[in-house]
Amino acid sequence: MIETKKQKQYFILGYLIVAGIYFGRYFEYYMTGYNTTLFAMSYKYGFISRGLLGSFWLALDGITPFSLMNYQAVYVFTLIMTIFYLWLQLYFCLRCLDKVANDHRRTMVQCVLFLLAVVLPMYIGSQMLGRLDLYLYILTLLALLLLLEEKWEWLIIPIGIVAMLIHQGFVFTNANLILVPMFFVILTTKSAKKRKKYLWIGILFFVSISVLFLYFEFFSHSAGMENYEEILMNAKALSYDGESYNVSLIHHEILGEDVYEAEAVYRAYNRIEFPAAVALFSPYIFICIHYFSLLLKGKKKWELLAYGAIPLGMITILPEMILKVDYGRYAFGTIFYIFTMLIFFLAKKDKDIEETMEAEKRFIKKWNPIPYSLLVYVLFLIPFWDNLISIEVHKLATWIF
Amino acid sequence: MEMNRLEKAKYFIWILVVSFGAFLYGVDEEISLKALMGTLLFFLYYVVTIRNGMELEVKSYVFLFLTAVFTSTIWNSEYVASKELHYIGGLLVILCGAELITKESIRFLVISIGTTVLLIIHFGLEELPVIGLEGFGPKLIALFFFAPLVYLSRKGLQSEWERWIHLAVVMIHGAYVVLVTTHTYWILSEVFYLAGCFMLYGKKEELKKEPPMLWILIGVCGLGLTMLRGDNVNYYCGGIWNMMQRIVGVL
Repeated sequence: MIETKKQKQYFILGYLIVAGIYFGRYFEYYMTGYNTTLFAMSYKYGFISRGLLGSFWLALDGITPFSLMNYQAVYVFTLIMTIFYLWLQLYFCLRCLDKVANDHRRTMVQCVLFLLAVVLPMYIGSQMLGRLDLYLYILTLLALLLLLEEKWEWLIIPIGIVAMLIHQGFVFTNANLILVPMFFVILTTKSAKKRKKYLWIGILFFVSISVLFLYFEFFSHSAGMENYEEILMNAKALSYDGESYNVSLIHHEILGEDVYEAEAVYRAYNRIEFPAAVALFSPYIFICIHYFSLLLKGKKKWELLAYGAIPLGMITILPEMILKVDYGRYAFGTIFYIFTMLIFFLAKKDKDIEETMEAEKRFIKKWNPIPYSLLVYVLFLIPFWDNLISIEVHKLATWIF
Repeated sequence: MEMNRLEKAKYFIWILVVSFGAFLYGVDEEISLKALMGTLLFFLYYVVTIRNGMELEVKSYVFLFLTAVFTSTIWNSEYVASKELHYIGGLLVILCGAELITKESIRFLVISIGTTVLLIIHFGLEELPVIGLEGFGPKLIALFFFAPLVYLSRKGLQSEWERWIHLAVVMIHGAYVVLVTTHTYWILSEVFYLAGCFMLYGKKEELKKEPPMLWILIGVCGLGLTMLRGDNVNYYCGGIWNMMQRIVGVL
């Protein structure tokens, strides 16, 4: 399955067709005021959080002969980056498929299909088009490719810094995808040289993103009031109607205001949606718990720590779930994390992961004689949103509660 | 291989789970009794189809496709109050009846004649729709989504005359969908007709010879036909047509 060049070409063709269909279905040909406002914040106003993308945009506007401080330019750029992300996701999956052992190729294809089904529609709809997460996932995939190929791994440190400058939420939503494989190598590799290299990269990566996170959370809002009006004007200029901008985003990031109260309505949604989502996704949650308990069974000391890090990596999202309200993004992040890790370790030919995957498939077949129904079922529950988990989860939650 | 009831129940439960997903996807506000009856008839069709337990896996995958298209459509508010639900009910009764017939050629005749007769009744009793090219583009895309199903449904037919009848039914339905009606009933009934023909065949070992790409394509086509709704067929077909128009406009 997807072994020969021709099969790979068919797979790419299939991916393009599905991507085209999803674009037809979910693409709305505009960006919301929230997502264009992100381009208005730059380091012109000090070393502020989420300022890198806006700074890059401002610099590009300065050095190119075109005027880029308008909606059309931002929209086209975002569209190009979204397509690039979808291409990178495909490339990552194909590289993993190249590396997987032949006996487990089918399993890998099934994981890839599930991951792509969830990823494809995520950043196409107007709600998420141009969201900063897109850039975080691009950078994360690049870092994972370096780890996969075992080349230029030191680049992970600047990648982490760039990601933090784009959005400090990287610490909770994406850093786990990079730290867990490194931690795994440190604990399991037999080569002392490799262990030392990964240890240093891991420490520097972790320290740099942690320092940046603390800075952006507590010290980056000092000159907010002086720049407020100008940022507002830029945000309006970049929006689709020349008027829209996101107030809470500017107040939070520039003035450092607490948005806890403003987000109360979303927290109320989160409270009712979370149990509904757990109920709807229960088959997947059950499989996930069963798989990892199977993986960790009989493991001791270092092995337990190394393999245990994979499910533990999921809990980095917990602080975000407690403090913030974007449960749709967190649900997407969790699914992305699990499947990307499985694909990654399958590509690394890890024997325990491989064998447990096959055992899990046999287990699934025992209680679900039509296992592809799990792939069909998830298609009805996506795309994930930001504050709302998804429309279907929202419907169920509002009916029950 | 005969299966016990527990094994069959597992199949049924998973069709039910996916149906619930499709229901959530399609429903907006109303919980309609008519749609509930339609859904129950649909499940009856599944129960009748799987009663002998032969080729259950293949039949269940067909039902996954059907439930994706059917359940997501009938619970939608654009459809829920529609008269067309009566015809869909009639269609399901015909399909259930056909499944009880052992001889494959007769079963095929019942499905094809039954579908066509319902088409004529619908055509006769409903207000005559205006012939025109309204919503032509999205309907054309919907027909593309049918293509792999048409290919597979032919596989179950044993003789030359069956193939000719099949071709005629598909052509009549297709022409009707594109040129005449703006309703979704015909698309839904065509999906049921093709699936009914496919289930005449449904031998797993034979199907394994088909390229894997075909199955992915069928899954995609099922997705592309979900939540049928009025003039623009659905969000997928309408959206793709809109996108194509914009691309042509830019070029």
